[in-house]
Parts: sequence; structure tokens; C-alpha cells
Amino acid sequence: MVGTVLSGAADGGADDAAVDTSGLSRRFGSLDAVSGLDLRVERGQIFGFLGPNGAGKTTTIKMLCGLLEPTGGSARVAGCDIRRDRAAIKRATGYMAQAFSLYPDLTSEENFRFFGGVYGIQGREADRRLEEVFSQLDIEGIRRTEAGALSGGWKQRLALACALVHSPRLLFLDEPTAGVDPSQRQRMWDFLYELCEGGTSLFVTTHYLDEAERCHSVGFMLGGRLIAQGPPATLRERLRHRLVGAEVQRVVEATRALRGLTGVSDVTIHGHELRVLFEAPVDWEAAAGRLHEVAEGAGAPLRRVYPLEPTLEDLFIGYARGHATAA
Amino acid sequence: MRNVYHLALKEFLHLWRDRRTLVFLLLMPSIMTVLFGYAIGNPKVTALPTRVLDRDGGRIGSEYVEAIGGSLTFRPEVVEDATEDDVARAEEDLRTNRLAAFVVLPEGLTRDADEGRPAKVRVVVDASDTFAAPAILRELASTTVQQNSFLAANLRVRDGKARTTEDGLHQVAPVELAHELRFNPDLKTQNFVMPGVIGLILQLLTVIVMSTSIARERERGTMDQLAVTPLTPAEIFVGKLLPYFLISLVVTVNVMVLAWWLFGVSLSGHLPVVAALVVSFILGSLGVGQVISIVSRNQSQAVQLAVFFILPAFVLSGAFTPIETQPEAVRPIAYLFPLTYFCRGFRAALLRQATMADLRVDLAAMALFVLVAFGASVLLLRSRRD
Ligand SMILES: Nc1ncnc2c1ncn2[C@@H]1O[C@H](COP(=O)(O)OP(=O)(O)OP(=O)(O)O)[C@@H](O)[C@H]1O
Ligand SMILES: [Mg+2]
Repeated sequence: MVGTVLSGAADGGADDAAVDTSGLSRRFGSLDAVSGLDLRVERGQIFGFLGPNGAGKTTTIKMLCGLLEPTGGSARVAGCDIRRDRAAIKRATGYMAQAFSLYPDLTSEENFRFFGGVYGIQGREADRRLEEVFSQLDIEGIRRTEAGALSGGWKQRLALACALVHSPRLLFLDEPTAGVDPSQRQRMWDFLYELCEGGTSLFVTTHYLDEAERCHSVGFMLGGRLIAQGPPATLRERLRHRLVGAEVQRVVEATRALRGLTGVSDVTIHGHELRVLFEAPVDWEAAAGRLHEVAEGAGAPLRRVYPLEPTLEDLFIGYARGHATAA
Repeated sequence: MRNVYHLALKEFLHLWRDRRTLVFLLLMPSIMTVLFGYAIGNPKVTALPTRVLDRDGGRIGSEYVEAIGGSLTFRPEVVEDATEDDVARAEEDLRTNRLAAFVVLPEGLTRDADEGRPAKVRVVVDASDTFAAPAILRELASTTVQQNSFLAANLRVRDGKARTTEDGLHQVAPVELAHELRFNPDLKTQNFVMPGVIGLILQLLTVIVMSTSIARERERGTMDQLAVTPLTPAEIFVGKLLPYFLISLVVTVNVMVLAWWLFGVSLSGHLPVVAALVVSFILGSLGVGQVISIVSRNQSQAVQLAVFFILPAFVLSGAFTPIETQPEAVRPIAYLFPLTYFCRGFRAALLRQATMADLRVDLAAMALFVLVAFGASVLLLRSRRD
């Protein structure tokens, strides 16, 4: 059951997108942290923003939140121009920073009430909101704990609570699950789904690809550029028929040998399984012969060769190594 | 010991990265040495504005005028044929700090003294400046002694006789220097120093406390979290300032009561004047603190910058010694600090019951300071966020 906490979405703008950027760019000196970003995030979705460290994810979010002035391009957030309608954007969006940024010497409740007050939520309304959000996020137990004394998972939940205090229609979460244990991550995601069902759009960065798989749509950043965007399944499909698995005892030798093979884009090791990515779709049975031959030649015979279901991780690693072709 | 070496090396690396701290560490002592050296190296009381009201017009009057004119202590102005109105005007100028003292040479001074009749030279001194007042009295006393010696010699040449002891005394020392100490009749040093000390305390408190407040938000990363809320830069500014403003007011009352209770410091100023001085000074200092806070990357930088502002203010503002005792070269710097105006105004308000009109220059200077500091803070807050 989704409570009123989550119903922050009621509005009737003509603009359908939660985020819509065109050519959005940011330079730091000579570094193009973000360049020519064209990104569209539909309303009511969970959008996963992926990319290796330094790809420009945080920089993008900061520009969208109005914390950083773009050096080029334009963007609309929640239907408002980021340069002209900052005040409207602030009311419509919530932001949870990558680094913990609440007041460590205030209790959870004091932090929450402070941010509520800043958004004009006071008195009975604040009490009601506190009850709602704290019970939804199951953090009533830490109401009187100082925020600085909380452990990782609790800190992130409290930060999320504070970002939600004004029922934003769009929520930016910069690595909300970094440093959070698997069960807490699970709960966090359950909650994000609840929020989404309540009509809130979510813009989430993560380095966990299992989380990325759960997003309605993902965007992949590399070196400040968006190199792929779409639903996870669609993106995965790009690797269909390009991925072949091989079981082998001596993984290191086999990997070295197979990487040298023409047509092979990358080989990754998963225990005794090698995931061999080809540059173009191949017939795995036809490829198997060559793989066996090369591995045998390197003194690391393959036990078995078989077709593989592509995952986002394969795509991610392929992109990050600059091998996969951007569409 | 090798581990200590590595730790020390790392500290040097920190310093090398934090250039601002490095510059501060290396430059600050030199600047301080120069400032302190100039400001308190030569604490002579000179060129005190002093008015001589000559109602005598005779020889002894001229001797006084000449002696006063020849002394470095005074910056004299002479009023010939002075009237009662001139005396009243001098009283008023003393109250408004335009004069440090005035001397009244009475009608018939030369005639009476030559005849061996008692004559009184009046000197009226602003005793709220406990450095200047004794210097003035010393100078005039020595002039008087000199005059008396001459007069006594002249009388002895004439006849050398006296009928009574009293007459004899008058013959030896006919001129009496009658001094009147205004505003601080006991020449109590605390009365001069305490208003300055209160200024110093407020300066220290406001600038240090305020300078760390926004730097702390930045250090903790909470500044971004504030910046995504609908709070405007002006609101952030006021919201940050208000609590420290109230605390500073409480502290002011607290130290004033202590000064009165322990040291009997006179607190008899007009309340609106005192309030206007205190409020404008606190606001200006808090504003400076905010500017420092906004341009600092972290709290330690903020504290360094705060000290960089506070120390020269302490030395130059005339909190402990009158600003007039400082050499001309450094005096203009003093007028860059609101503490200078506060000390001067606060003293005038508490000891001389100065009015708003009397202190309009000091109040206007501090108000200007408030405006500049506030404006700069808000503009900086606005630009720093991008
Ligand atoms: N204030 C800044 N000044 C200079 N360079 C910066 C600044 N902020 C970010 N950068 C640089 O911009 C690039 C993008 O950084 P950004 O923080 O957006 O990456 P990210 O994708 O969020 O990485 P991560 O996954 O590590 O959080 C990096 O090379 C970073 O060093
Ligand atoms: Mg980041």
C-alpha cells in the first residue's frame, strides 16, 4: 500500500519529461566533465545513470539541481528551465548528495524538521510528514539519534527521508546505496519502487549493475558523454549473439590467448568461466572451434563452449574499456 | 624517529597544498611586526587639540600662549578677547571630542600677578582620555611654575616684603593653575580602557564565530544541501547572522554590567546612542565574519583570515591607547576598521554622554560598513554557489 508520502506527482505540465537536456556541458578548466549531453528522462520512471568514476554523473546532477552553472547547452527539469526557473525547480525536486550531507550534531528528527521548515512545512503538517516518512522508511527507531552516529545504511535512509520532506515530484539520488549492505540496499530499492508507483520520478546513479537492471531506463556516461540510453533489456540486446562462454581450468592463460584472437573484443573472467565478447554477432558453434584451437595452443584447453545471455555488466565493462561500439 | 620524520614531511605537504595557510604563516608575522612597531612603538601624546581663551591680553597671557604653542603636546588655537560665550562653546567642544582641553586666562591676570595678588589660570581637561589628560596637566604645571618664578623674582626686586604668610605665598607663587577634570574626574584608567575592551571582546566574538559558520557548512557538504532548498542567498545570510547577533547582544550587556560592577566604569550614556553603536558595530563585524566565511574553503582558513582581520584592528583601533598617539603613517589604516569608530563613539557615549548628532560620523561610518559587508556577503553567496 502506497501512502500519501509518495504522492508528490500530481501536476499537469504540458512537458512530459522529468529531465530533458540538450547539449548540456560543463568544463572545469581544460577538463570537459560533461559535454553535449542530450538526455531525456520520462516522468514517473526510475532512471539509472551509470558510468565509471569520473564519468560526469555527479556533475550532471549538480547542474540539474542548480548547484552548478552549466558552461553550455540547456536543460529542463520538471518542466522548468534550469537557468530561469530555479525557484520552481527547487520546490519540485529533491536531492540526495553522493557524500552524506546532513548535520551530524543534530538528531534525525531535528535534521528532518529543519529541512521541512526550510520548505515551509511546519507545525502539525511537519508532525504528520515526519510520522509518514519515518514510518515508510522504517527509521522511527533512530529519531533521537544524532545523525553523525548512524551507520551507513541508516544514514542513507535518513538522507533520503530529508530529501523527501517536501514531497518532490522528481528525486535526484547520487549513489544512494554506496556503502550499504545488500539487505539494506534491497529495502532501499523496495522503497524507491513505492515512490515511483506513487508518481515520483527518480534519477539515480549507481555502480551496482543489479540495481541498474531494475531501472525502467538507463543512461551510460563515459568521459563526460552519454554513450547509450534506453531500457536495460534493449541495451542488453545489443550484445545478443556476441557473447560466448567458455569453461576452463587455467583461466589466466586462456584469457591472454583468447584476447589475441581477431574478432574478439574482450574477455572477462568469472571463476572458471570466461565471457568472450565478440566485436560483431557470431554463430557460437562456428566460433567454438577457433576458441578451442587457440586455447589448446596456449596450453589451457577449454572444457566447454556455450552461448551466453548478455547482462548489463557485460555492456558496462565493454563500454568502459572502450571496445563496445556506441549506437 | 623515522616515523616522526614522515609525519612532519606530510604536514609540510599539507601546507604546500594549502597555499593560503602558508602565505598566512609566512606573511602574518612580518605585517604584525611592522604594524605593532609603528602603532605602539612610540606612544607619545602629541598635538592634542587645545584652545586658549585669552581674556587677559597682557604679558603673562602671551607667555602661556607661547609656551603652549611651543609644546609638541598641544595643537593650540588661540581666541583673543574671549567672552563668556567662547568659554561655553569650548565646554561644548570638549564634550563632543573636538577639544582635549581648554585654558582660560582670566581678565587682569597680568595686572594681579604683577601686584602679587592671587590669580587663577583655569584649565579644563577631558579626563575620559586618561593618557592625554595627565600630559596636558604636566605641561601646563611646568609653564605655571616657570611663570611664578619670574614673578616672584620681580616682586623681590621691587621690595621683597610681606605682611602675612599668606601674602608671602602669593608673592612667591601668585598664579594658581586651577584644573578641572571633566567626564572622568578621578582619572580612572578603566573608564578609558573598558569601552575599548568591550569593543575588542565583541570584535573577537563576532568575527571568529561568524567566520566559521558558513565554512563549516561547506566543510561538511551541507552547503549544497542548503543550496537546493528554496532559501535565497539573502535568507541564508540573515538566518546565519541572527542567532549570533542575539548572542552578541547578550554578551554586550553581560560585559557592560561586569565592567560597571567590578571596576565602577561609568555607564551613564544615552540608551538609544549606546544601542545604535552596539548594534551597528555587531552587525558590521558579523558581516565581515560572513564575508570571511564565504571566501574560505574550510574552517581553519576562516579562522586564519579572521585573525588577519582582528589583530590589526586590535592594535590600530585605539582600544587601549588613544588613536591620536599613533603616528600619522598608520592612522589611515585604523579608519578601515569599524572597531576604531566603535571605541571612539562608545567612549564618547558612556563618558561624555554624546548624542546621536555628536556621533553622526562614527555611526555613519559603521552603517556604511554594515551595508558593504552585507552586500558583499549576499553577492558572494550568490556567485559562490555556481
Ligand atoms: N569542482 C571541480 N573542479 C574540477 N574538476 C572537477 C570538479 N568536480 C568534478 N570534477 C571533475 O569532473 C569529472 C567528473 O566528475 P564527477 O564527480 O561528475 O564524476 P562521477 O561520474 O560522479 O564519478 P563518481 O562515480 O566517482 O562519483 C572528474 O574528472 C572530476 O575530477
Ligand atoms: Mg559522483
